[in-house]
Amino acid sequence: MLIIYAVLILAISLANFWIYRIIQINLFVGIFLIAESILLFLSTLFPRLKILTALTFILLSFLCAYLITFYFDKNIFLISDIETQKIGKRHEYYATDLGKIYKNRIGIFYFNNLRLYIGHLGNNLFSSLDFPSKYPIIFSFLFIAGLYNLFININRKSTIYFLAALLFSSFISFESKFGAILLFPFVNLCIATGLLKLLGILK
Amino acid sequence: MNKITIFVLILLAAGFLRFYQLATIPAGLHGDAASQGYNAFSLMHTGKDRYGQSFPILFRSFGSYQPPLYTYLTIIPISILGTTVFAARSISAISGVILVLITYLFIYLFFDIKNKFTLAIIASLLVAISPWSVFFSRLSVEANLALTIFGLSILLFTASLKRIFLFPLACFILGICSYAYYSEGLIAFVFLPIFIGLFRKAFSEGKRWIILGLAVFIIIQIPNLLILNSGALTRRFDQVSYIENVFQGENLTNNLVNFCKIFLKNYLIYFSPKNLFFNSDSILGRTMPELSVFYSWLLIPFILGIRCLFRLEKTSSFKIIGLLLLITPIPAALTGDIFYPLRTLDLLWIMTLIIAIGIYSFYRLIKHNIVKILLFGSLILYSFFSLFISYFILFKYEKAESYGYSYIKLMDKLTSYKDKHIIIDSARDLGIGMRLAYLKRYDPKKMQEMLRPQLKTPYYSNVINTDEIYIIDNIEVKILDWHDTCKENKIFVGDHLAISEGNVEEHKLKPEFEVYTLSKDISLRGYSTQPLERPKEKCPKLKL
Repeated sequence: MLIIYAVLILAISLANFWIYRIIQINLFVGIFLIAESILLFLSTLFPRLKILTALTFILLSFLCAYLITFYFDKNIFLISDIETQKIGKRHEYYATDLGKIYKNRIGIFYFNNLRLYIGHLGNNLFSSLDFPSKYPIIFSFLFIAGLYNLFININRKSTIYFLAALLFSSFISFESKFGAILLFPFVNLCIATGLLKLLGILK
Repeated sequence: MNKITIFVLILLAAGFLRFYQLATIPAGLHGDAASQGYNAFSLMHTGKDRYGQSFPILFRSFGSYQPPLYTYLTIIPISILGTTVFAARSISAISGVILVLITYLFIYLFFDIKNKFTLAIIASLLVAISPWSVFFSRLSVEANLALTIFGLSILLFTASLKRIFLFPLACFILGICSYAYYSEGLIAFVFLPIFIGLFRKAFSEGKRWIILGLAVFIIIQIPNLLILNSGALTRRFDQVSYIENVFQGENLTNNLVNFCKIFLKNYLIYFSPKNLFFNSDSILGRTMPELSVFYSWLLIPFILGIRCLFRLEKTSSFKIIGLLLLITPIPAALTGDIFYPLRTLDLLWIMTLIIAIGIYSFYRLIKHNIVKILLFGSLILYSFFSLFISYFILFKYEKAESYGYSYIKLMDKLTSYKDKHIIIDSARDLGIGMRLAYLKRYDPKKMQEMLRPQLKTPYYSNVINTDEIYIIDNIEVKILDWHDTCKENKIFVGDHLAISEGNVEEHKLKPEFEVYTLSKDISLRGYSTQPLERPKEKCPKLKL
């Protein structure tokens, strides 16, 4: 049974354009994402096999460390020319309306730097939630069904995976147009779960 | 602190956020607001709108039609406060406060849960401080009034499940929505039959009330039906919808497939977490700088709320919220604008309720009161701070020009030129004339005599000209005609696109004054004509 499910999730992982574009950029990352998809799915279906859970999160840690090292989004802490112009204009507004609340070191650092950095992180985070449309449209219904199932029957593993992947995705820029690749295994999990739910295999 | 005190405090907070500096933020007065205000002023004095139409069903304005209810209600604040910016915005602000009350009642009366008072307080507080609610309550937008009326109808429909005699009243209120804003008008027609079908068992023993309610709803639509053939009712929809473009091809199947693709894409955009919790004015154009329609931290309670909602599956609350969640984005999804919050205020309201459910479920998990106070207190303070920075500072300065701020400052400048003929360029802002007329309390009879002859089509029509010329005292508002530079005693007013440096040089214009934006950039310039300085061949008719 384990092998059948492994084949199923492997098929879903390969049945989309996303993974092939990832593989084109970095074969190593692509292969590990496929492996992560299989591990996450199997550890969700077979919660008693602790080894699967351990491997899932070990691999996730490895992937996060690798991506943070080689694909860290340096733009998080860079202020663009447009942002610099905006800061210049807004300096007057804040100075007029906030007075001493703004006109001090902490105030200036918060408004002119920290808010921008948080904004960049937020942009990465929310962009990650807009899953790219790299799957056949039929998969979107399976995805929604799977997501609904995970919603109702909250699975700690998948929730922790999702949150961790989302958090680390905020700091990574892996060819921005390819979306949050750390969420790839989670998307596949939802699709596979949706399919099993539809076939009546999952309650 | 007792329940009523807490709720009163929330209402006061809602009132403060909506009325504080209402006349000055947004800085200026939008052309549509001026149109509503002036029409209300004109109706008050003459019983006719600015075109001389008696008690219109729709108000013709700037190439389209404004739904009537907001304008008619604006007569009340104008009669008390005069033709001021505050009066023009009052109805929207009051609607925003009433919505907080409706939210509280909806949750308190119809959610069958333990501690429903807590949930009701959370929901009403969220509506009071949500960026979308504060933002649109402070604009003269019909949609905000429509949302309040729609919310009231939902309250009554829910009540009618147990007290069926309320059904006709609910239908009456729902019917009025179609006179408040176009989106709610369309939603009303979709909502009513589905609601009856969904709760048919509850209504099975009160069929007479259902029939009466439907009859009331249809009778309310009679004024709309009277102008249905004119094209006026669908004019706005024709302007903003993509349907006509999609169905231009000959192959119906292809057209239908394309329509479905575009509709689905536009529909799902209203559920995008990025659009709801992150993207702000610079991308969307319809909220405020650095703040989206919801605070970013509300994403987590929203997800929790959706989950809780699925668990309430069989309750009537779930059915109603679920139904509204599905149908409220439909009108906006039929238009070409990508994520246009103004057209989906009902959806935003429903989402706020869902977020409140999420917060409530999390609130119940926390055992210690001190942790609750610290956590939620911090989040509320942070939210107020974000709102203050984004709206009361950044929005005030950066979006002043979108609301015609410079033209209001211009009125002060022009008091020094009463003996001159002022010509203001209207190429990029159709609302200049109305703004001036409203704030100057221009005689409605004179306005009617001026505008009525300029109508090139019947009042109710699908074809509307926008090339109107306004003459208010010594001020003329029109597209600049350079032949006027050959006449003496004229002052031309326009922005740098209307009057370039080349134009100034070519027509020998003399700089007279400058008008600055709130952010101290030059917005408008005034130039006097010097026909004598121009070559004779340029001004052949000039008499020395």
